[in-house]
Amino acid sequence: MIKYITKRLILLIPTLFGVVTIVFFMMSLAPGDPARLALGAHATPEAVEAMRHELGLDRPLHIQYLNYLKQVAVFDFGKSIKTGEPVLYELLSRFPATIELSVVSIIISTILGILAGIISATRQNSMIDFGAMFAALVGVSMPVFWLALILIMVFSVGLNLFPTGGRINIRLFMDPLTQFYLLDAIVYIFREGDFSYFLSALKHIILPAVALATIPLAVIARVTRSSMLEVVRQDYIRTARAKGLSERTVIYKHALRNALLPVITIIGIEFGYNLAGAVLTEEIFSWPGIGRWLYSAVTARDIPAVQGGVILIAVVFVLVNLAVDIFYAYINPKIRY
Amino acid sequence: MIKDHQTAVLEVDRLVTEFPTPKGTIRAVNDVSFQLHQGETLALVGESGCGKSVTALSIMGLLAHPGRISSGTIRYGKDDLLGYSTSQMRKIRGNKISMIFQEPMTSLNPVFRIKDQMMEVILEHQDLSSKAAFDRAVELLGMVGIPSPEKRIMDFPHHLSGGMRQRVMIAMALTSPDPGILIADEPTTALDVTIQAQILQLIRKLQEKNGMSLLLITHDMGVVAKMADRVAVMYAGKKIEEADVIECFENPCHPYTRGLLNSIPSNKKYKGANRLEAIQGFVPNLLELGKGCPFTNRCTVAMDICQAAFPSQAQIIEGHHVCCHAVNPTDADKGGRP
Ligand SMILES: Nc1ncnc2c1ncn2[C@@H]1O[C@H](COP(=O)(O)OP(=O)(O)O)[C@@H](O)[C@H]1O
Ligand SMILES: [Mg+2]
Repeated sequence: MIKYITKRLILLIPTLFGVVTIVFFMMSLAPGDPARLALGAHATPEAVEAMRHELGLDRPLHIQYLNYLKQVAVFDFGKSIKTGEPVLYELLSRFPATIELSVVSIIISTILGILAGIISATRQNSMIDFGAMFAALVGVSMPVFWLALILIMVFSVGLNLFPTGGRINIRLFMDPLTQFYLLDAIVYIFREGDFSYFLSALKHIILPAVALATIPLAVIARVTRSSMLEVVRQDYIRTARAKGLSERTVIYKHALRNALLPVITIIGIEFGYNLAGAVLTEEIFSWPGIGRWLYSAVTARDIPAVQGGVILIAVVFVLVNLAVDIFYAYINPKIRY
Repeated sequence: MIKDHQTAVLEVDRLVTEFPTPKGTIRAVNDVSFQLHQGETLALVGESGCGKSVTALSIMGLLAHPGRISSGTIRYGKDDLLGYSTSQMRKIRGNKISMIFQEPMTSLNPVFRIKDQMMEVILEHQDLSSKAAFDRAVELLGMVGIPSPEKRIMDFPHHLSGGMRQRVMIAMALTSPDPGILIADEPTTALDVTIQAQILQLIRKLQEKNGMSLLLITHDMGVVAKMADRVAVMYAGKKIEEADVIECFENPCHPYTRGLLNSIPSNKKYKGANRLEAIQGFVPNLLELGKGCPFTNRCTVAMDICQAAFPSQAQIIEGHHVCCHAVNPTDADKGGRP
C-alpha cells in the first residue's frame, strides 16, 4: 500500500508538469495584454513597455516558459499583478475557506444522498422512490446560481434565519489558527466557553453549503440507488438473509458496503468539482475562497494569479483522486496494490 | 445416527407459489406436497426451471419479489412456518433450517472476510462471546475440511476456490450445535467433477455425524443415486412422482421419471437404459399451462384425458406415489407400467 501511494505521488510529477505547461500556454495565447490591463487604459506606451519587461513578457515565449518552470519547481508562482502579493500567499490564505465550504457541502450531500438512495432502492417504485428521484432530477437540472438566489431570498431576506454572505459575523474577530472557521470556533468553545463564534460560522456556511451540495446530493442519490438495486439482487444478499440476519444488517452492512464502491468514486469527483467549481456559489455568498479570487483574477487577466490558482486546483484534484483510490482499495478487498 | 423415517421434521402441504408478472401469473410451484423425515435425505429432482429452487426459497421465506405463496402450509414441528413473523422466521433461518446455494463463487459477500461472515451467523443465533464465536468458526472450517482454518478464516472469498467456498458455505450453514434441516440447492452443479464428489461426501459425513435432515435439490440422477433415501420428482411446478430411492430407480412409473433415468449415461440400476436418451421436446411455458398434465406434449404414452385433467396421485406401493393417467394403480404388481 505504501509502495502504491509512493508510486502515485511520483506519478503526480509528470501530471503536474503537463498541467503547468497547458496552463502556461493557454494563458499566453489568450488575447489581451496583461501589462496594459494592469496599468489601465491611460498608461503611456513607455510605462506599459516597462511593465512588460518587469513581468518578463518581452522575452521569447520558450524562455518565459522555462523561467516559469524553474520558479514553479521551487513553489514560486510569482506575484499577483493586481495586488503585488506573492500568489502562493494569496492562494494559501483563501484556500481554507474553499476547503471548509467544500467539505461541509460534500458531507451534507454524501449523508443525505446515500440515505435517499438507500430509501429509494429499498422501496423501489413506491411514491417515496418516485418523489426522491424526481427531486434528484430537479436537483441536477437546477442552476446553482438560481438556487443560491432563491435560498438567499427565502432564508436570509424573507425569514431572516441566515446571513446573506461572508464567513462569520464581522464583529466577531477570531485569531487565525487553522483558518477553518468551524474548527477555530470549536477551539473558542473550549478555550473561552463561547459558543457565539461557532454558531455564527455555522449560520454563515449553511446556505452556501446547501447550494453547493444540491447537485452532488442528487448525483450521489441516483448512483447509490442504482448501485443498491444492482447489489440487492446478488446471491450473497440472499445468503445474508438465509443466515437469519435482520433486514437492517442485510441492507446497511452486506448490501451497502458493496453498493458504496461506485458511490465513493462519484463522491471524490464531486468533491473535486466543489473545490474547483464553487466560483458562482462563492461569488453569490461573498465567500472569500479560491473560486471568487480566481474569478476576479481571470477578469483582471492577472496571469500569475490565474496560473497559480489553476495549478493549485489541479494538484488538489489529483490528491483527492488519490485519496479516493486509496479509500476504494480499503473497502474493496479485491484491489490490493 | 439412526434415521427415523417416521417423524416428519418438515411437511410441505399443497404448496402453491406464484410470481405475478405483467404477462400473467407464473405458478412456479403448483400444489406440491412432501415430507422430510428426521435424518433422511430427500432428493428433489427435475429439469431446470421446474420449481425446485422456488420450493426451497418458499420454505426459507426468501422468495424474491414478486414471488408469493398463495396457498398451502409448511409445517415445521407443530407450527406452520407461513404463519411466522419476520423475527420468528429469522430465528429459524441459518439456525434450524439452513440453505446452501448453487453458485459458491457468488454466494459469499466479496467485501467481508470469511471470519466476519462466519462469526456473524454464530453471534446471531448463539449467545457466545466474540472469542468463542471465532473459535467455533475455526472449528467448523476445520470440520468441513479446510486446511489451516485459522489462517484461511482471515481470507476474503476471492482468495478461495469454488470448492473451498462451497465448504465455507456448508460450514456457515451448520453453525448451530443442533442443525435440524439443511437445504442444499444444487450444491455441486457449479463445481468440477472431482470436487463434486468431495463435497457430496462431506455433506454425507456431516449428516451422519449430526443427524440433520437433508433436502437435496439436484437435476442429476447420479447425485440422487449416491445421496438420497427418497426421491421426489418435479415437473413444471408439479410433483409427479415420489418414491424410495431404490424403488425409484428400479420401478420408475412416470414417463418423465423414466426419461430422467434414461438420460444418465451409466445407469446400470435401470435396466431399460443402454444408451443416452434425452427427453424429446421442451418444458412448457409456465404461463400457458392448461388444466391437464404439463408433460403431455412430450409424453410418449399420452392419452386424450392427459390434456383435460391433471391426474390424481396414485399409490404404487407404500411410499411410492405417482401422478399419471397412464399408470393404473391396480397394475402395480406388473411394475406399474402402462
Ligand atoms: N423472480 C422470479 N420472477 C418470475 N418468475 C420466476 C422468478 N423466479 C423463478 N421464477 C419462475 O419459476 C420457475 C421455477 O424456477 P426455479 O425454482 O428457479 O427452477 P429450478 O427448478 O431450476 O430451481 C422458473 O421457470 C421461472 O419461470
Ligand atoms: Mg434452481
